[in-house]
Amino acid sequence: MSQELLANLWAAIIGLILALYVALDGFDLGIGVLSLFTRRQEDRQMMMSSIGAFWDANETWLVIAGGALFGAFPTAYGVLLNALYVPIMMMLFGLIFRAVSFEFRGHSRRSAIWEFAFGAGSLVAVVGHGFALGGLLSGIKVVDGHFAGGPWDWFSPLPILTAVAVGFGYVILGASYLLAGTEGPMHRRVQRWTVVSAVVMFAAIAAVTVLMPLWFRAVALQWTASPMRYVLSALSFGAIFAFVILILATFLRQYSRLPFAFSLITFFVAFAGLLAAMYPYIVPTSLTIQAAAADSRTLVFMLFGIALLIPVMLAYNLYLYRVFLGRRAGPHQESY
Amino acid sequence: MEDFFSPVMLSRLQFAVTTLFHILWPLLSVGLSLFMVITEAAWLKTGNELYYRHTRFWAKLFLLSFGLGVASGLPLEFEFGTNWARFSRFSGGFFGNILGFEGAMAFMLEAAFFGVSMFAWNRVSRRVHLFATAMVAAGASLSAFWIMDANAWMQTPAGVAVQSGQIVVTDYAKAIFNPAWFYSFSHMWVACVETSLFFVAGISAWYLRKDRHREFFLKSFKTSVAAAVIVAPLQVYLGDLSARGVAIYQPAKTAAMEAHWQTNPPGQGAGWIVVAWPDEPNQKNVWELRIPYLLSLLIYHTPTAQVQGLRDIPPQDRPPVLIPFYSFRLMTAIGLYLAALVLWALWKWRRGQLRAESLWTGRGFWLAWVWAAPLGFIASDLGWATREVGRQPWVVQGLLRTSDGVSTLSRSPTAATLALYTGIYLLLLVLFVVFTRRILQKGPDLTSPLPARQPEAQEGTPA
Repeated sequence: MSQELLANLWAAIIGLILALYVALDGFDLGIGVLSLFTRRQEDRQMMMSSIGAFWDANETWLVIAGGALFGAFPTAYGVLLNALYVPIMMMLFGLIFRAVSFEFRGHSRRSAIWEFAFGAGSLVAVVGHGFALGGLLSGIKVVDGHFAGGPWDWFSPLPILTAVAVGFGYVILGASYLLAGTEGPMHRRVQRWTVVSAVVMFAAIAAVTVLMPLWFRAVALQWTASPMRYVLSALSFGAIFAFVILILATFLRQYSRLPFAFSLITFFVAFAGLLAAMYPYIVPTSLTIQAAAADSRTLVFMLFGIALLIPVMLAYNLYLYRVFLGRRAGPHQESY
Repeated sequence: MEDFFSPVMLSRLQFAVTTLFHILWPLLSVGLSLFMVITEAAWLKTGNELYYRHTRFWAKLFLLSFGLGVASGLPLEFEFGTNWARFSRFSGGFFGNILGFEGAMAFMLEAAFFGVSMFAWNRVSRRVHLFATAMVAAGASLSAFWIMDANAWMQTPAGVAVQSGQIVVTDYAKAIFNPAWFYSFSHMWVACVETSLFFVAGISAWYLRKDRHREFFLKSFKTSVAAAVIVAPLQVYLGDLSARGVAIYQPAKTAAMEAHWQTNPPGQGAGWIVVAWPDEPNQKNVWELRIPYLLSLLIYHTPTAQVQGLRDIPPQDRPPVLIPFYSFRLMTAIGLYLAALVLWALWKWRRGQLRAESLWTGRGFWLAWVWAAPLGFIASDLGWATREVGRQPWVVQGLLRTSDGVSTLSRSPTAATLALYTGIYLLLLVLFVVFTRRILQKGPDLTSPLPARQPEAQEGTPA
């Protein structure tokens, strides 16, 4: 296999791992954000225990995405994490509090503190994700394969928009996941959350899509070039279609898992659109996939070591979800 | 004098703080998960309910340490990029993909089966459950292997060439099985097992001293002591193996660990310094207590073998002396003390004083065991400090200096994250201790019903 093909393949694999991460941990984090807006303690506890058995397996996709990027694109790993120091640290601090709150809540005499830590940690992590994405899209100054800017370079109006889009995107995932396990007033609240956040996210994504080419000339030229134009419009139509079904399905009681499925589809399509829009760059306009890639021996070795394990990892995850999501059990899990 | 508040220094401190705290929890989750596999298997084999109760009891502590391990460990992977971007770019081709292996092979195995093992007692059959617990333990140990392998490569890099500022792997087998891999991994893995054994035995001793659940905790105490009979001396042996490996591959580290300034002339042995006050600017010890010939004997098993002194290593390639010298000594002392403690317990065992009907009631013995519970953790951190400070000034021994591995950072964000990490990790440790105490005060649950022989008939449960 040629170096060029290998590098593209690895970019696609990392895209897939990242998509799995943002979709799976996205619904956990979305539920975390929603828990901040939930007054009744029983409801908050239900929300936390609905993901108690999954969150760490979901977070593992982040560990794998990090390792794969580090190995396959060492230059991009260094540049991105260095340039996005502040948003990445926000994400890490948020995830620390999210992770410990599950155990600490059970042991603490004041469990409300840890329910708040769960919600606040999730929110900080989500904002970190959004800022990091915005910072990436705004462009990063690279000299000789190293980041050559300042710690606040990433901050501009664009990351605020992307943080809104990412945040509400996760909330849709979380809310549509909760649809299957809730009853009565809580169910109606969850329906409302799903629709409101779907609309806000869509507006934010539309704004980003319109503003990007206006702010960055290079983006405009690239997006309107021949094959890209068709790919991007096909993906936009796909996203709009999945979005409409998602809204409709939210109100169909008998198909309570359908909205979650369609929110996942919307998410994957939007993510694919994002990757297509960035191609062939891994750090837009300063580092291409080819320039950032490790040597081909490394890429081949990683293909056998990591890529072949992705189906195995998916199998563990499916098994885990099957054990805990028996149809009658709903997303509630037993306590221990 | 080095600028203490430079981004390099702040980043080093941050990495040291996060690592030293993080290590504490995997030490426990690697060891406790193995302990749980043994008790759960014993339950299935013998049908003795006490083994099931043990599995559930230690699982509570495992859960706490696992959660903290995940929480405190995630930042480490990302710190390589955020704070050590030049190191990441330089070594990612090997180091990064080993971290990727750790995530894909080990961490995912552990994380996925963790949910089943901890929360699905009534959802899967007993055999499937034991399998899940075994996979958690396998994942944890495999994680330790990959992490230690990546670090061993930083100590003794092999199988790579440097091309235009980045490493290229020339031989994967050589890189993975680099000279330090075996003694690094085995020493650390056995440290996990030993630390957990003394943790379990220490907690059991705490209950036995208060005479709570005598039969129950006598079982875990004796199991741990029996295992420690092999593990504690094995660890002393592996420590010796590591020290001899370091002497061959990282002589500067050995010289610093031993505060050994002057290479011994041919025909004369190098002495082993028990305690000293090293004076780095003047390249000597202000005072020292030395046992002649012992250093040559320890490393090369001959009384007059030559051991390179720090003065024969160029100043810019010398590690600091004080930290490696004392942390190495304290770690060794703890390792020997723990081995001696096992002998004491064996003596009591032989005299029939570890039987439920005639349990030894003297304070000293049980207190010595209770206070041994934290010692494994302390020794492991001391060992880690020796290992990492002793590699300085290199981040990848001989290939990349630490000061050339750092990111483009300015002072204030780095200082801010260092302060946050220090505060948060301290808080996590304090809460871990508080909540562990709470779990211990509550004691084991000896009454709740056993899980059903067959899982509840349920959609999606495999037959």
